[in-house]
Amino acid sequence: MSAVLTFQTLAKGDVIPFPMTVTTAEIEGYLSATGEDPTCWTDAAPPLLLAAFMVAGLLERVTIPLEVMHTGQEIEARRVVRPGEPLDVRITVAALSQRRGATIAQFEAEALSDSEVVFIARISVLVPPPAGGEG
Amino acid sequence: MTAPEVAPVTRVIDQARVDAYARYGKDPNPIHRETPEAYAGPFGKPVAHGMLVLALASEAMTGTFGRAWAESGTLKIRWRSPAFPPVRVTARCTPKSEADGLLTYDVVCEDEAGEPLLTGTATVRP
Repeated sequence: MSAVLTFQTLAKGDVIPFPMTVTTAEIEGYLSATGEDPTCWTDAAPPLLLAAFMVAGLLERVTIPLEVMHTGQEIEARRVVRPGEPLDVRITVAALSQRRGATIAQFEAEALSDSEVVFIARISVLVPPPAGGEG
Repeated sequence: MTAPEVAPVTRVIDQARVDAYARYGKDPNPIHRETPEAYAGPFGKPVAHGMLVLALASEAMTGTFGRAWAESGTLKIRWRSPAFPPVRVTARCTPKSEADGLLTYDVVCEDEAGEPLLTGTATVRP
């Protein structure tokens, strides 16, 4: 999928919705990359995987500058998410501000299953000012 | 209940692991890999994914709490320093408080020199 929005045109309150389903193969691949023992995750998605994949879904839909810095992260697990479970993700631009030429943004992401919120992630990013620019 | 001790998790994050995470963690940003963009970027060389470093803290909590971590765990962290591969990272979750069954931990992931890469808190309701 190509990104259709840009970081520069986002506004506070914008909502980016998309479907997400985590497969067993994706969990296995993720755990092989992080190095975590997969024993606990044969029928459940690790919470950090959910957060990472929600960020990935955001990046598929919003073009964000390469120099963006992921400055903070919150997660809140409400219950286990199982492989193959269809989720509806809604990412809201919760805050957007400029400071000394840098752009600071906060996104609030919810994953819902049959309208039940099962996982929440809050993502803080900073885009430095352009080289030679203000700040 | 008293918050139990959480065993630290230590792992070397090298470029191969970062490359694997770029694929399987779905974050292909070239600043994390051996690319011209990484050397021209804000850090001047490839930097490990912050979420890969944070994964060690989640792994530590899973080691003690298992499924309860996926059912009720929370994390709230700020990144403090970039992690440049290869780096030996240790995630420590230290008991902080207990209230009404909610256990709170101080979280830090640090490099081999003890420099904090991220700090924050974790909670779980086992």
